[in-house]
Amino acid sequence: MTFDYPGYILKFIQKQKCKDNSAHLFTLIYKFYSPVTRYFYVLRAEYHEGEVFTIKFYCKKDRHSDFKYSKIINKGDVGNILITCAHIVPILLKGYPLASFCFIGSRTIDMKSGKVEPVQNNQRFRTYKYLIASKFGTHTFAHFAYDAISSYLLVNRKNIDVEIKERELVRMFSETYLNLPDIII
Amino acid sequence: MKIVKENSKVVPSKGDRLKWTPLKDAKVVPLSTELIKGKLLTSDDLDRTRQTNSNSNNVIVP
Repeated sequence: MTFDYPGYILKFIQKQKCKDNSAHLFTLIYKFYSPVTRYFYVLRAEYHEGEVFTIKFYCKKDRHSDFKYSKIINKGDVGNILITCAHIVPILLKGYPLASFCFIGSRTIDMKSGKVEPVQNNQRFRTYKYLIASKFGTHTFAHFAYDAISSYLLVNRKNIDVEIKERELVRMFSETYLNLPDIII
Repeated sequence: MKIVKENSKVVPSKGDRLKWTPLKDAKVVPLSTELIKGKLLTSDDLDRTRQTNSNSNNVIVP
């Protein structure tokens, strides 16, 4: 897969402040529409201390589901949907030039069998890893992969020492989120 | 006219095929700094991941 898709237009919806006194400070919420699947999608860019965004998205029809990040939509158009999500990075860099970015591949839940895939190196993570390798170079970001928890971190190279910054962000995440947040069942 | 497939098979669902864990047995994964061991990927690692040489014309962020 080349991921050479145009993607869709991201529409900014709102800035939502987080008032739980955690390192999660606010969320920028966007949405976009896929004419192929005929669904709207919600993209959340959650800003944390240390100038790092976690990027999440789900199909709007599943917004009330506890498993919204884990469901299989199975209507196609994956390339355009993922490229649209990737386009949020240059948009956010304009307002937050020092920002780093984090992605987590949620475990897929097969609702038919009521089964969930393993945490390590899961399907979504493998796809995101391939997409990021194809669409993000090493000039702006240092790339860190965490296969054991299916996560990926792009550390902004404007930080003086990217390895120290990476450890700082890992510490912040592990102190803020005691568990992987989307698989508490 | 109704056509009946005599040899049609029931395809097992994805979770069954791939032997995933039943939801009721799924464990919460605690995050700790020790568990989160990352690997700094080089340009060669990224080339291997995408199985091609880098093509700067297509990148979203260089």
